Amino acid sequence: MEQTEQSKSRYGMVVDLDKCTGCGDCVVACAIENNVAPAEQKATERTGITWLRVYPVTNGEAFPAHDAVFVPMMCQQCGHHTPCVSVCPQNAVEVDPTTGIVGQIPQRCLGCRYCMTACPFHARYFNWWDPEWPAGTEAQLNPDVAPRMRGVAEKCNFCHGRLHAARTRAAAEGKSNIASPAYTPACAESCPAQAIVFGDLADESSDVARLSKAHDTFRFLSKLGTEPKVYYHSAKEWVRKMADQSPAV
Amino acid sequence: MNITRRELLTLAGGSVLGTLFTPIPWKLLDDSAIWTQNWSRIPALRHGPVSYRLSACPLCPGGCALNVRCVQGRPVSLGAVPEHPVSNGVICATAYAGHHLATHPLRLHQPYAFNGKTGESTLLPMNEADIASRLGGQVRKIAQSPSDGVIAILDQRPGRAISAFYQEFLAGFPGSHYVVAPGADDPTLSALSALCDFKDLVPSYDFENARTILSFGAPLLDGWGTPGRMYAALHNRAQKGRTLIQAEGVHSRTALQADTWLPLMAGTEAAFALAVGHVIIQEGRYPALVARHVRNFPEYAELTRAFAPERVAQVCGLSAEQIIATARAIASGPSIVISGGNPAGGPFDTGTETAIAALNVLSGNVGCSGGVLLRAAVPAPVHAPKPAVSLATIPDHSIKVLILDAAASGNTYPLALLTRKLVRQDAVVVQFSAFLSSQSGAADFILPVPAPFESLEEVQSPAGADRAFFALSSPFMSASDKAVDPVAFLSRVATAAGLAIPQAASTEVLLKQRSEAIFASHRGVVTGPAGTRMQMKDTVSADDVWKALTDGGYWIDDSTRQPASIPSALPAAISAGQQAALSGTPSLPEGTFRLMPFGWRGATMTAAVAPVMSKLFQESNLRALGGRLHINPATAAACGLADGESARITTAAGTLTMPVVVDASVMPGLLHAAVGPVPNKTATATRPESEGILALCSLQDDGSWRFTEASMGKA
Repeated sequence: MEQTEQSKSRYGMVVDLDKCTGCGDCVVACAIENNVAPAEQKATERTGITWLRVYPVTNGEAFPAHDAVFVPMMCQQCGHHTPCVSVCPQNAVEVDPTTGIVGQIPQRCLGCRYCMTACPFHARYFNWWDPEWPAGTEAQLNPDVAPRMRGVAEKCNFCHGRLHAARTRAAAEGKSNIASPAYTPACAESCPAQAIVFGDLADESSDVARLSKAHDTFRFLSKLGTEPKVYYHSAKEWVRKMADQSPAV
Repeated sequence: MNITRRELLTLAGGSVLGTLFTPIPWKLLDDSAIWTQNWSRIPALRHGPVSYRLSACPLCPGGCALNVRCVQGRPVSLGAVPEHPVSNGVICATAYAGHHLATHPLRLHQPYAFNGKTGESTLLPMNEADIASRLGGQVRKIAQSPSDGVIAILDQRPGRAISAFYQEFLAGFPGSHYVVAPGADDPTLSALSALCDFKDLVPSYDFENARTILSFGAPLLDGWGTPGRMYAALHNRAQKGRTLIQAEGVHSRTALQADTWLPLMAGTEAAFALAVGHVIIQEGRYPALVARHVRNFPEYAELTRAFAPERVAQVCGLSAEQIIATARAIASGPSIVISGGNPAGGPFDTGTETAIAALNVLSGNVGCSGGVLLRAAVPAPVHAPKPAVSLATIPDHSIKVLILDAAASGNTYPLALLTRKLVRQDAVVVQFSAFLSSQSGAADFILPVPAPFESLEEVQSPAGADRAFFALSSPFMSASDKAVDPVAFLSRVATAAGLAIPQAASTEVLLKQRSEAIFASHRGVVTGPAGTRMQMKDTVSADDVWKALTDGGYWIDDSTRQPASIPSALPAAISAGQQAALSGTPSLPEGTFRLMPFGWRGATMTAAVAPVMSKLFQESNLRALGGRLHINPATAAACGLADGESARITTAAGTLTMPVVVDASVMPGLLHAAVGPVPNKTATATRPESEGILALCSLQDDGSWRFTEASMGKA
C-alpha cells in the first residue's frame, strides 16, 4: 500500500478516546522526539510547552456517576481557512500543499502570538524562557529537530523530522513515494493502547481514512469549518456531545 | 529662525511616520529574529553516525525491552521493541525519558555525609574509603557485641544476583536481617504463598487465559507489572471473552477502562471479599475438590457466614446484587482476584490481603490455567543462605547499621518504617543511590552508584510474570569515576572490619555467574539481538549466553510448572479490623476522613524522574502533582475548601498543609493524597525532598499504611 506523496497526501489522525488510558507515553515521546525542553521552574499549565497535551475531561456528574476520558490534543492541522496561517504577519506558518501539514517556521516568528489567540484548539505554545536542559542532556537531544528559541511560538507538526527522514530513506532506495508505515509520528508510535492511528486521509484504503468515516467519529469544533485533520472516536454520547467545545477551555 | 514647539513635534511625528516607509524598522525586526535563533542559549545538536542497540529498562522491575537510538554513541531516544515476548512493543512514559536521568539535577556524583539534622541538613563531600573505614569500625563492633544492635540490608529489588550477595554478606553476622522493601513483592501472591505450599516454585498470574479478573484497586492498566503484557491481556477484552471488574473508591485510570467499576468504600475490602466468599459457598459455586482438599474449608465457610451480602452492602457502598454478581462472575470460570498494591499506598493490611487472596483458593484457580500458575525461579549460582524478612517482623530499635539498596523499584514507603527500627543512638544508615531521593533523608552516608544505563544491571521477571525471564540492561554511557559498586564497597567494609566475609570483585562478576547458572540449568531459550535463538539444552557455551545477554538479548524459561497438587488452606479467622468493618465502624466519626496516599509507579520520589516528565505533572494536569490532595466536591464543601486552596491535614503522626484539588473521581470522605514529583528543579539539590504525606500515615503492626484516620480543615 504505497502512497504517492506528490499526489497530495492529507496526513491525519484518528484518536480513539475509549482506548486512551491517559498514560502520558505520547506526551513524553513527543517531547523527546521534538526536543521540547523541560519546564522552567516557574512554568505552569498556561506557560508550559506541550505540543501534545492530554486533557482529562469529565462528564460533570457527581460520584459515582462520574465518568472521564482523556483527550490527546495536538495541532488539529486545519485544512481550510487555517486560522493561524491567516493571522501570522510574518508568514511563519505555512500549509504544505503536498502533505496538508501545517508547519511552523520559528526563524520567521516574531512572537506576536496572534496565532495562539487565533487557534481555537489552544494547541500553540510560546517560548517564554530559553530552552534549557540540565547540563549534559543537550548531547542527548534528537539531532533531527532544531530547538526553538525564546520568544517564538511552536506547535505539533506531525513530527516533521520523521517525514524528512522517511523521504530521505525512500529517495535512497530509489523511490519517490513514502510507504505508509515508514512515516509515523512519535505519539502514534508510542501509544501502548494503539489509540492513535496515523496515515493518509487521501488514501481511501488506509486505516485512518476508514476510521475517520466510522460511526461515532467526530472532530472538535467542526462548526468553525476549519476542516481539522485530527479526528476523535468515542462510543460514549456525552463525549461526542462535547465536540462543539475545545477540551482546552 | 525660531522653532516652535509645534514645529518640533511635527518634525518628530513626521520622522517616525516616514521611518515606517523605510526598510529600517523591518530590517531591525528581521535581524532580531535571526539573532535570537543564533544566540548562545540555543543548544548545539550533536550530529554523527547513528546506531541502534538493544537493551532492557532498569527503571522498575517491569522487564521492558528497549531499542536505543544513539548518535556518536550517545543515546538520543529510547523506544520499544515490537514483538518482544515480555513487553509486547510497549514502554512507559518514564522509560521514554530514561536516557535523560544520567544528567538529572539530583544526580549524585560523589559520596556524601549529612552535615546536621535531617531536614535542615546539607551534604558534606566525602570519599568512599573514609566511609568504608567508618562503616567497617561499626560492623566490627556489631560482630563483637550483637546485643548492642544488628546489621540489616534493605533490598528494594529482591531476587537479583546482588541480593544473593547481600544475603551471603549478612550470613556472617548473628541476628542480622536481609529485608525486602515494602511493596517489592506482589501482596496477593505473598498472601497466597502463606496459604499455599508452593515449595520452590513462584506463583504468577495467567491473565492471558483468565475469564474474569477482580481487582481491588490494582493499577493494572496504569503501570502494574509489565505494561505491555497488561495492555495485550486487557485490551479488546470483549473479543477474548474476558471481564475486568475494578473495585475501589476512586474512579482511577484502570476503573475507567474496566467493564465494571464497583465504587467500594475504602477500608471495607476485606468485608467485601468475605461477602464474595459467602456467596460462592452459599450457592455452592466452588469446586468439589476445594471442599475436600483445602484445609480450613469448614472454618472459612463458618467465618463467611456472618458476611451476608445484604449485611456487607450496608457498609461497603455497594448493593447486595453487585456483590452477588461479582461472586458469580469469578466462580463462573478461570479467574484472578488481585489487590496489586499501590506504588505509594502499599499493600492492604495482612488480614485484608489474606481475605482477597483466599478467593483464588476458594474458586479453585490456584494451579489452573487462567488463574494463579506456578513457575520456576531464575537460576541462581548459589542458594541464598539468609532468608528474607519484612520490616514489620524486625523489633523496633534493634538495627545499628542499615544499608539501603536504593535500586529503582517504582514504589515508595514511609521512612518511619525504617527509622523506628534503628537503635536510638549511634545508628548508621548508608544508602546506595544514583540520585538524591526522599529516602536519602534517612541516610547518614550516601554512596553514588551508576545511574541507569551506565552499568550492567539485571532485569528479571516482574511480579506476576508467567515465566521466568532474565535480561541485562546494557550500559550505553560511561559511569563516573566516583561511582560506587555496592559489591566492591561491602567487600572493602569487610576488609576494614577484619572479618572473613565472602567477597566478590564486582556486580558484573555476579551477573556473569548468574548467566553461567542459566546456561548450566539447561532450561529455556536465549534470544540474541538479531533474533537468533539458542536452546540452553543444545550445545552452546556459557560465553555465548553471556555475549547474547550483554548485546541486548534475553532468556525466557520453557514453560510454567504445575505440580499435581498444591497443598492449600483458607483463612480460619478474621482480624478485629474486618470485624469492625462489618459492624459499620468504617463510617468514621464526624469530621474525620480516611487518608489514602497514592502514586504512579516509577514516579514516587524514591528515584528520580527525568526533568522532561514535567510535561505530565507541571505543564499539564494529566498526572497528579506530588503534594496535592484530591478530594470529592462534597468533601471540599463540607470543609469549606475550594479548588487550589490549602487544607490542613492532621493525623496522629502530625499536621501537614497541602493544596486541594477538587476531583469528582474520588469518593466522598476519602483524602486521596498524591505522592510524586514536585515541580521541576534545574538547580543542583543539596538536601533531600521531604516525604510529604507519607510522614502522616499511621503504620500498622504488620507494616501497612494504606489508610489513616485524619481530620481536615482550611489552612
